[in-house]
Amino acid sequence: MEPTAEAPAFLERARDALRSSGDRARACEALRAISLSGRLGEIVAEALGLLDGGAAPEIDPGTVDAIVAIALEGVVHGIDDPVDDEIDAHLQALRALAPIPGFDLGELGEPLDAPAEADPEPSGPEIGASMFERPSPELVSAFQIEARELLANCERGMLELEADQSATAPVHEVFRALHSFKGNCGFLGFGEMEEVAHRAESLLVLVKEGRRRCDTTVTAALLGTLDALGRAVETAADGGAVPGRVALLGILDKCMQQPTGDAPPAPEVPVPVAAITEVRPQRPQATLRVDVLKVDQLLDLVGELIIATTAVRHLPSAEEPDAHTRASAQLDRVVRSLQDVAMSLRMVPIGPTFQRMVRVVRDVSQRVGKPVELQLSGDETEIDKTVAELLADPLVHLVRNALDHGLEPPEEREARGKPRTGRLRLTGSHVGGEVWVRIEDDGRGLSRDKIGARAVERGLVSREALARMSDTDVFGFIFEPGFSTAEQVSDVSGRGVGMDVVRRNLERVRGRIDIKSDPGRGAAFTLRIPLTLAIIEGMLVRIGDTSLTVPLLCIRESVVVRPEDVTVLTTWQELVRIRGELIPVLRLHRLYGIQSDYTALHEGILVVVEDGGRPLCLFVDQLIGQRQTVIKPISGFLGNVRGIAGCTVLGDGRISLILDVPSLVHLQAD
Amino acid sequence: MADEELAEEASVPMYLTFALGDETYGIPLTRVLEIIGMQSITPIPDSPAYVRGVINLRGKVIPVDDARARYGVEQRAYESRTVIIVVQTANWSVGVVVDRVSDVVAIPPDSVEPPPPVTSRHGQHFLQGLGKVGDGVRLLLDVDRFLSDEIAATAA
Repeated sequence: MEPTAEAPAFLERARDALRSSGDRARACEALRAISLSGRLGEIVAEALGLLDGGAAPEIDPGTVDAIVAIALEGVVHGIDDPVDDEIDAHLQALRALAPIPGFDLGELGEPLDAPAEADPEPSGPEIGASMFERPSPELVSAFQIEARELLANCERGMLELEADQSATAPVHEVFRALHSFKGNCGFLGFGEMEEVAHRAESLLVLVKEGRRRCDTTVTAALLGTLDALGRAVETAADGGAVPGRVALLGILDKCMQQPTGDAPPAPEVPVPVAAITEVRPQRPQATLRVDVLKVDQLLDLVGELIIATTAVRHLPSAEEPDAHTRASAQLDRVVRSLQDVAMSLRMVPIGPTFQRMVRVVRDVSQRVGKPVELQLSGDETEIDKTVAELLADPLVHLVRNALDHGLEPPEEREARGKPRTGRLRLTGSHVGGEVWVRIEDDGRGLSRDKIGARAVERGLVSREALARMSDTDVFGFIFEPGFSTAEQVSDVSGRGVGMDVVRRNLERVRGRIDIKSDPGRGAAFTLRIPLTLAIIEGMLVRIGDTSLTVPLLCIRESVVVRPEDVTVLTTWQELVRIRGELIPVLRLHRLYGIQSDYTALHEGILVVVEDGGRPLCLFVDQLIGQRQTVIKPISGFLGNVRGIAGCTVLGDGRISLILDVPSLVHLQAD
Repeated sequence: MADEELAEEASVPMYLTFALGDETYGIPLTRVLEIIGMQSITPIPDSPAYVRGVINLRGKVIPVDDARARYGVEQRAYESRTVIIVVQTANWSVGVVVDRVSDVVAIPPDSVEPPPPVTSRHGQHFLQGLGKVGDGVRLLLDVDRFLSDEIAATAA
């Protein structure tokens, strides 16, 4: 096990062998020069066995290189600290490289959708050489969760690589992720996936070693491979057949055989249609990866909670009121920390969601022939996991729309004096109690006239009403089901289906969307989603017998006014002057038909709330106090209640409605 | 209980019957979550007249509907026998205020007649059928339609 002293020297020699590009004899010689005992020796022996064992008369240079590379990697990794698992992984990787008898590129000519079972290759089961007959469903689903993540990492790296083909960091990252993926496949006996991943890995090794220039052929082939693997992962429970495997392997091999990257026709990485339709994606299991530190904190706090509860329970409150107050204050503090940690468990950065858009932008921009520069910012913004998942679809639709309809073709852009490359910017940020996700493009902008005309045509609004509508409301029509102003339906968008989804998904997380458009200069869609779905800090107010909760984040101040501060407009709209600013008043008792204690504004209290800079005074009888408020949704049975975001159960078991300030402000403005 | 009886129990649909005014209604027992006594109901502004409000059922907030209002039966004050039946519909759980619960009865499908064509009587279209029990008739409700938002929308 102890590394031998001359280790560095033999590594040098071995690297030489590697540089000598696929020469089997030299590779053998170099490997023989490595004398290691123990487990590291096993790796070398295995590699030698493959190269020298004569399992196949011919081994292609790419495979030779891969064998040497994996063997060296294993030895270098293990030399300081041999870890059994890692060594096993490398051994397995080597075994998977065993030459496949009977495989040659001639098979490329075969129909791509040849079913996997009918495949003439005898190698599948051998390579899979699984230790289990069939992995248990739990193992498969754990595998799927990790595989999705690994493949997503691969894809991210590949896209980086595609953008900057000389970068080396992404190659290593992709290699690592793919290697782990392959290892997992091998462990569970998913032979096909393992084989494909392995071939892709061999290609990456060439790129990594600088022996194969990374060009679009390579990235396209690898991205196609990742897609196919992604589909296979979803069918892992049924054996995880890789769609179009033979063709993929052929393409990867072809890539490997052209070390200089001399223009083979960029392979359209084929994914047979038949295979796609067979895929029945299973609902991904809802799991969450959580920092162990957070879980530790959680457990610590639960410990504190138990102590604090005991303290409260065992204190004779009548005798020592002070101690009791202290103990309950402590309990309160612990519960709040616990809440913070528990909430933070659900929060994930928005980055991965954005990252998926990189791929969408790449694909769509190629398809519609518009070069696009995508800028991402604020991808560390944390959002609720549920929200992150629901956000993905709307983002895809908005991004597609922006590319297809928003951005002009390069020629048109030049004619308008804009740079040929369109710009698309995705921004995430926290604003007040909301997460804002902004999608901006510098294209044509939305056309009020076109949208308006279409709305009239579809009978959504009368011509007269349209003239009076604000831009925002007119733009709102694009979210109507089946609404599209696109003259031509493309395969990217224009069917008017997507925007409907955007709105529906947003409504599910109580989000809303703001549209700003500057004709000829671009458009910006802002998705505004409440930060948490569960708990808010609220101010409890009372009107007559009814108690309502106002989200604290929306409250600017609460004031008592003098009668002379109140102005009444001819429309009966009351305005209150607070420090020189005139603010409209909303009488909640009138809106909701509640019998209130006071009707004169100066007798009750005005809670000044604001949304997006627009202030509004809510007239209430009394402020009761600040409360942690657990939001419960209002049953869909009741439909939409104006200005109500949900309800909460108070300490005494009664129910208080939570006001939805943005919609109240909107209501008032109409 | 004998095996045959058990088998019979399982195959014959059971109904919870309750009184509303002069009539006795039935709803499939499988849809009944629980029966609770009258409790304080928080009114919901802006909602149709037959929606009484919401109650706090062990931390869950559940809307409560008044069957009398829903049927256009004359209102009367709640009393000690007034109860809330919590019903599971296709989409949500809803509490329904009824005068009193009567019994649980088994009504075999061949004792159920289709509802007569809509007459002037309110709420006829909520009926799933007429169940004959002994000499009496139980009006069997189609809970999904009875408590669906679609109906709510048209009634409002």
